[in-house]
Amino acid sequence: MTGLYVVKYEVKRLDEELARLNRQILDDQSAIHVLNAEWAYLNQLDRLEALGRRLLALEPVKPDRIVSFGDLPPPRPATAEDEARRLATVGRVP
Amino acid sequence: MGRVGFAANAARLDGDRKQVIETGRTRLMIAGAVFAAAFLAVALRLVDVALFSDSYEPRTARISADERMRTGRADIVDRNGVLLATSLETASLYANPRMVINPEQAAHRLAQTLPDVDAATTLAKLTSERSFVWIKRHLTPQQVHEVIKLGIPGLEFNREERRIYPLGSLAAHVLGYTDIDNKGLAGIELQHDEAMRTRAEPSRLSIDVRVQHVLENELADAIARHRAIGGAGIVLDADTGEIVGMASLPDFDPNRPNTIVEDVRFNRATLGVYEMGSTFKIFTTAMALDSGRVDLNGGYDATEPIRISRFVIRDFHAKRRWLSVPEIFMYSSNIASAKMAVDVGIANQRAFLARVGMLEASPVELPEVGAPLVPQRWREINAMTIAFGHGLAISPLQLVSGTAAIVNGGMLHAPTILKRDGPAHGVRVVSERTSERMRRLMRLVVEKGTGKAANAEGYLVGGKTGTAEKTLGRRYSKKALMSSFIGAFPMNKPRYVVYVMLDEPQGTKETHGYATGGWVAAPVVRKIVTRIAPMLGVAPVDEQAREVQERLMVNLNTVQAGVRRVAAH
Repeated sequence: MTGLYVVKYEVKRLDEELARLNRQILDDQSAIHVLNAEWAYLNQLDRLEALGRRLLALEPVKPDRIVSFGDLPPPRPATAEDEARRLATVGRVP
Repeated sequence: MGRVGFAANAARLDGDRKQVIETGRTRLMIAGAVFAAAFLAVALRLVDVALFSDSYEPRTARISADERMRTGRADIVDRNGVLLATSLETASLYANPRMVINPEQAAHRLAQTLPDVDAATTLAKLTSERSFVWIKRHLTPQQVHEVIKLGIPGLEFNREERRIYPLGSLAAHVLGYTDIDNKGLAGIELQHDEAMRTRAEPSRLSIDVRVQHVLENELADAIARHRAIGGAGIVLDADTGEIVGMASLPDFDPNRPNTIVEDVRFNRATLGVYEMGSTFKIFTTAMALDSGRVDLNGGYDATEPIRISRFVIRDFHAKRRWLSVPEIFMYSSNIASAKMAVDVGIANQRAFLARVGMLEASPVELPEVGAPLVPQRWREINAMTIAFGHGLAISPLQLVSGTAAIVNGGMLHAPTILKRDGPAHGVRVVSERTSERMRRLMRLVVEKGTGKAANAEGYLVGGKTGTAEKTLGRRYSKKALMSSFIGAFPMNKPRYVVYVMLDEPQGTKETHGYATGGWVAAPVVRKIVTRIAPMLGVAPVDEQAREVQERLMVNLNTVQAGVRRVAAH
């Protein structure tokens, strides 16, 4: 009988803990929700554009600044000298 | 003897006593059994209560564990998940006038604390006979705190939802807005009203906020520069029919629904139907090429204006000679386009336009969709004027989705404002070959024709300009124009269709006083394409590269059956 009481009160305590945690989760979710809205608000594109203009030295990308890997010159075949230099930096040359 | 007598007496006594003890024992047994039964009952109940009683304390915990966070109305997000509309909890202030002790003082102090709460009207509310009156809806947390500090009895707060559009007026016409009770009144808010109330998952639009921003930004800039009364712009994914950006200006701030007037609520991109002018020649030319009646080398005589009943069909850029199909398209000849339509046949023209969706309201998922104005009787004169975009009024979205079908290889996709999950299923409207030839013609317009200003270098823009005179009453007005440009890029394999329209633009010094599509709308498309192409992952190409030129060049034979010259070299 006593064991049953102990278990019962333990379960009740855990239930309360669970309810408290659930409440906290709801509170946190609601806070996340509000913060998401605020994040979206702060990311208004007009605002970002104005801030970017004022604080960054960036500008819209011009087509001639975009190159693909195919446009890059092919890599020069490595010479013996290159190889020696590479090994030197790695520290394998005795 | 006495002893015996005693013994006998005792024996008799024993008999009595025994009986008494028996009785007592029986009673004890009964009582014991009753008690045992009672204790057993208590014990059983104890086990029952401790182990099997779901219905008591744990209930609250279970409910909050099961119930997910509900915010009432579901969110709206863009194609990349950027929040466009959400619901936040706010407090609304109401009063029970019967509980308010001193209405005059309460009204006075509320008016002092809350902006736009008027002392006189509040007093009227507080002295009314009802037991519930709203004082003010949707207070900020700061205001709630101040009202609580006033300590007026009879005032209560009600927790309510309020619709918030964090990006302000961005994509306002697509989103729409809600009333104070969160009921959708326009746009996707109205279209998805039921779903957004019941489901928790957000509505994911096909809009990309970055593209939308560029579109609105450049459109607003052009409207201001040309003192236009409004404008519209659409960016459509040519392969799926998804609307990546759609703007109508002037627009509104859906956060303040009470400030929205009829004029700004009007969605020019979907609800407005207009005679499109020359942009419609895309369909006429595609139809003629697809029918096989005329080839790219063929042409029509555009020397003389056409006189039919009391109308005269003239060319704006008159060449007064025979024109090849590429020339007709490039110089935007009304005369030759009219002849083209008659050549194909009136019934065929009607069937073709029905096939590309010009004769029915656009199937887009918005409540504000305008039905096209189709002539009741489709006579020769109708066929001729419709060939160059007059006498049939359609919404810009219809034009854009039809054009996408012409350039994307010939598949028409229903335009959608919602992000597509699976592959898009289209309907073939023109052949692959016709589409390929139309791409060359549209590139030609931008390279050498009326749309040069739309050439966003590196992105191979192709398109068609359009300038229509607006009807004022029953006459066309020379002053009030609808100037537009419809383009697609990159023209060797179109991914997006871009449309810009300005309503009643005025010419400026830079445009030499012209307010036609090529002068006012085409440059806007160039600016938009230059800004959005990197965002959409369209890589620039070298326009002078041979393989690009070969894919897009057109034989411009300017003389009938004469020597052919290669236009693109």
